[in-house]
Amino acid sequence: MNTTKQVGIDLGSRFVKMALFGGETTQFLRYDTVDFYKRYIIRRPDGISIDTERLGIPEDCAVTATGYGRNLMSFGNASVISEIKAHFRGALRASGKTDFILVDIGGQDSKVIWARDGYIEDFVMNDKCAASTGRFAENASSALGFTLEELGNMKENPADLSTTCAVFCESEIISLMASGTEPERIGAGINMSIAKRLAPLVKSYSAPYIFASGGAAENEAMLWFLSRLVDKEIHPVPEPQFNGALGCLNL
Amino acid sequence: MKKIGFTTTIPVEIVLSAGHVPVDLNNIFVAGSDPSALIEEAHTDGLPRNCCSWIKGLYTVGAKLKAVDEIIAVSNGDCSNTHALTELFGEAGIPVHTFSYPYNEPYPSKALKTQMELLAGKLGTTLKAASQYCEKTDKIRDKLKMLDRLTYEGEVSGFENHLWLVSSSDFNGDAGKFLKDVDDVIAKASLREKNDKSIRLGYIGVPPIIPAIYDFIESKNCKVVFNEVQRQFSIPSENADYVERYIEYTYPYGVMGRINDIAERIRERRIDGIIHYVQSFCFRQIQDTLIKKYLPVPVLTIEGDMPGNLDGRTKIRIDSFIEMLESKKKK
Repeated sequence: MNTTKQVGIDLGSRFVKMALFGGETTQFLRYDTVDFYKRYIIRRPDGISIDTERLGIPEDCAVTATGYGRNLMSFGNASVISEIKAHFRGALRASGKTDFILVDIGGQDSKVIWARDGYIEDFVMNDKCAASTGRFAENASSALGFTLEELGNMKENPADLSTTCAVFCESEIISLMASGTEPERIGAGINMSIAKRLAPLVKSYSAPYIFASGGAAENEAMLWFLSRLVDKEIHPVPEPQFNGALGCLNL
Repeated sequence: MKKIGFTTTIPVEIVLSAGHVPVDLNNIFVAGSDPSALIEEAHTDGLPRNCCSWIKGLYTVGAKLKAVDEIIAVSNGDCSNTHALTELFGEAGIPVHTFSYPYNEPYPSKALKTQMELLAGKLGTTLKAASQYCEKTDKIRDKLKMLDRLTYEGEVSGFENHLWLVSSSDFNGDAGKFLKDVDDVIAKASLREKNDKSIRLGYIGVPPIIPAIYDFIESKNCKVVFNEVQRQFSIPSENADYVERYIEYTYPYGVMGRINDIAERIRERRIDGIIHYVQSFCFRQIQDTLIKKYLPVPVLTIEGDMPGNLDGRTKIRIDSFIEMLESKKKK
């Protein structure tokens, strides 16, 4: 029997993340975004919606959505909140702190949220550039032939990457490899360049704690560089990838 | 009677008193049926992708479509891209007059007066005649002030405010008709019920290359009650001295003057948050740092590049910003 009482869905640019709350425990599911839209979208003459039945979401279950596809959630029990609010609530709940900075590094957006006295005081997001996002790490690791997990351990002697562009970076990686630079050093350079992009956003605010969420928060080396640049410890939230989905739940 | 184009707002009474038709090239570009195609045409001619879309639109309108007979290029007070644009207009055989707002001049009023006199001379009129022409245009400017007030009082939408104020740089080429049109808008708006949406936003920065941003914002629980640069384009100064009006006009000068004007409007219009629109590759993106530092309310910076629909990334930012302002208000 399906005991799901509440569902939080974060429809991100790379992955759709779901947190299914059953009363005592929470189950997490993750889908590739493109696969998700191919499999679970229903096209009707009056628009499109999500096939909740196929996803196993019970009819009387409260659903809250965030992310790029949030407005697909236009059925009976569904409500929509912004990504900033979802991630803020996720971190607030997970940390129990009311004053913090949250760095969320998503597939194509990175955001820094400043929470004060338990409210969102301000936030800032990346400009029109993917060089500080998870997608950049993904492309770079694949160009280097590493998994994201492997990339997340590379912090020794980082190679200097001069390009500002996530797309052109690939050709820079190739030319560094052709000139004999060790791939691990290039990997470390990638992590450092993401951290360098994020540091000015984090430094716009000041708070006693800094937390990190999003897929790239699992990249330890990048967080290590970032914490050195902002001169403060950075703690990943317990379920970095599902922070937005968890923040959608009304617990 | 010639069509006199310009690259940004100039003392339009000079053009009108000379008996010519003023044409703001920006309005021709963005209000056309396919602004993106105009940019693509500029790309085909070799203008770089990583350069402001407005400049590329102006290039095609002026140099390729030859929409006007002569062009006034504002070489100081807007961006330095205009210098290169002037060269391309010249190459296309379009007569170009440069006009320069003073930058850090010891005697700005004197410098601006000289520029205005020179421009008047080039167009076959005098500064005195232009100043006297204000008798006619002041009627329009008074109406635009009324329309602006109705915007923050709730009868006129943020988009209507944008549209009419931004169009006042050239009065759509026909000052008489423009006055009548604005009158009609005000008459209709006065009959409407006041919009009492709870979040009051200010829009600052250059006019958006994606005007759909207004519909999106105003489909939420909020209302745009201030359009900074568009309001400046309507020359709100009531100074009796014609030259001084264009000294009090904030757009072509330093950002601190703009910030003081914006802060005053925030108080006057009880604004909860500011959307700062910046155009990709524009020098004004740098000024965002000072704007954020000195304005007393939260600022969301939105970057636009090409004309078209409002993209998902921008929507997500605006949604989050409005939600943040709502919860701050409830706090």
